[in-house]
Amino acid sequence: MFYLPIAEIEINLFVILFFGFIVGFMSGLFGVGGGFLMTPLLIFLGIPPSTAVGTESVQILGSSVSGAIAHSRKKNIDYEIGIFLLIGGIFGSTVGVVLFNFLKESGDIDLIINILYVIFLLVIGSLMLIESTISLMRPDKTIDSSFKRRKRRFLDFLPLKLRFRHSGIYISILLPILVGMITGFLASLMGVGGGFIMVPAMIYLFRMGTVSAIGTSLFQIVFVTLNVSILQATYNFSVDLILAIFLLVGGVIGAQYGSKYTSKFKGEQIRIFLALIVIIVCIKMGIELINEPLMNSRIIIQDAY
Amino acid sequence: MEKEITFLVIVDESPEMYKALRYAAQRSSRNNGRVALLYTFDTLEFSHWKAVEDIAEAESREKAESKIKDVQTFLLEFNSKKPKKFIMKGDRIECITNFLKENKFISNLVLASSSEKSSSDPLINAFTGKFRSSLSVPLTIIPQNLSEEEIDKLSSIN
Repeated sequence: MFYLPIAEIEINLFVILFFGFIVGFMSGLFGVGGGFLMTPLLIFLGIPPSTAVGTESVQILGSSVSGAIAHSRKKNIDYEIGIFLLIGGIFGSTVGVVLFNFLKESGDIDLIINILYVIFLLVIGSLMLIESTISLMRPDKTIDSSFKRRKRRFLDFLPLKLRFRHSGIYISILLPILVGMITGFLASLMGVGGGFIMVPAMIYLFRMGTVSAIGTSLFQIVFVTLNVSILQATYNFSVDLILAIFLLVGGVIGAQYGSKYTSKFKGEQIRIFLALIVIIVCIKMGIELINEPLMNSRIIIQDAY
Repeated sequence: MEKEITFLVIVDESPEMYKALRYAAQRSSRNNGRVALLYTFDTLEFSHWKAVEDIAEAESREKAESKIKDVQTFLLEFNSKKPKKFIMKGDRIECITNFLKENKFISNLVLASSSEKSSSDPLINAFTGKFRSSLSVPLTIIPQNLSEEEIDKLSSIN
């Protein structure tokens, strides 16, 4: 057993290593950051939600650096789009950390994180499940990228348009700033990287290519989680470095194994599996939220004074 | 029908690929044979959303088809027979070994080595090193620094 100084609980570090490994394995398998699975797991272990969120941003930072470097070598990063995503991301995440601090002071932060997670996991899990079920029923449906050549949409009427040569798109800079802001905000409040929102947004709204959307999102995630990590550690004292290091060690080893198995599974099986995990985690969090009379007890205490 | 000699060239975005292509085209046209083209693309690492994966695959296939079209135009010059075209999805080396196993009409695999020092020639390394036992046809390596005339001369000696 080991005492975590910031989380203020005693925990077996092998359990942390193991959890890091499991989530790392899944993120290697699915090619996702894994923050939205790790944070709930840490909360289940008894780590305060605020510490779980703060610490997760450090882990995401650590695990996305190597991916970002790999994409930069392959020239998959559109730095022009990336800068605007980052401007939005830094702004959104800083606002998020300040709000985090405000909620921490008022004592609501842990409850808010729990509620946000239940909603979030429910939406993501059901979307994934619906998507997979549809494609299982129609396995031979072919898709082309012709939606990119569709006629003008209302998004094309936004001001401040700029031509981004690397991606060959002509869009308003407000789009990447806004998308970056939303993901930055989520990154600071939920301890996620936000790639699972950013990547589809970049493909559908900006009409970027998938590979450069992924590379560019990693570029943004690295710097936004760096910003969040520093702010969470210095301003909110919600980063437990020992916890983060052990998660990272387990995670890096797990991801190595996970990425080896990606080609062994069919995409559909993987996705249904991930969707089910997300929904199970969501249900468990929901039950704990109902069982734990966090809100009521606080109100009673306030009334007593 | 007698089996015609078929040279397999792995199509990618590298400049040296055209050297391998030139050699394969010359050899096959002189032997009344054919060129086979294989383009492989990787599955996307990001498999969170089905829709994203589908779009990525569509993009890769479109890219593959346009590259193969370029290559076909290049091949017209050598008045060889129409090339056979294949597109496969997955790990490159795995695709090639599986392809060779399933398509016995391939007589020779032609690869080009890069003349740049920084290039690692992953396919050549794989098929002369770790994966050499999975290779089921002779392998020809065309050095990139051979000129077109040199390639033409070398390919005319039977």
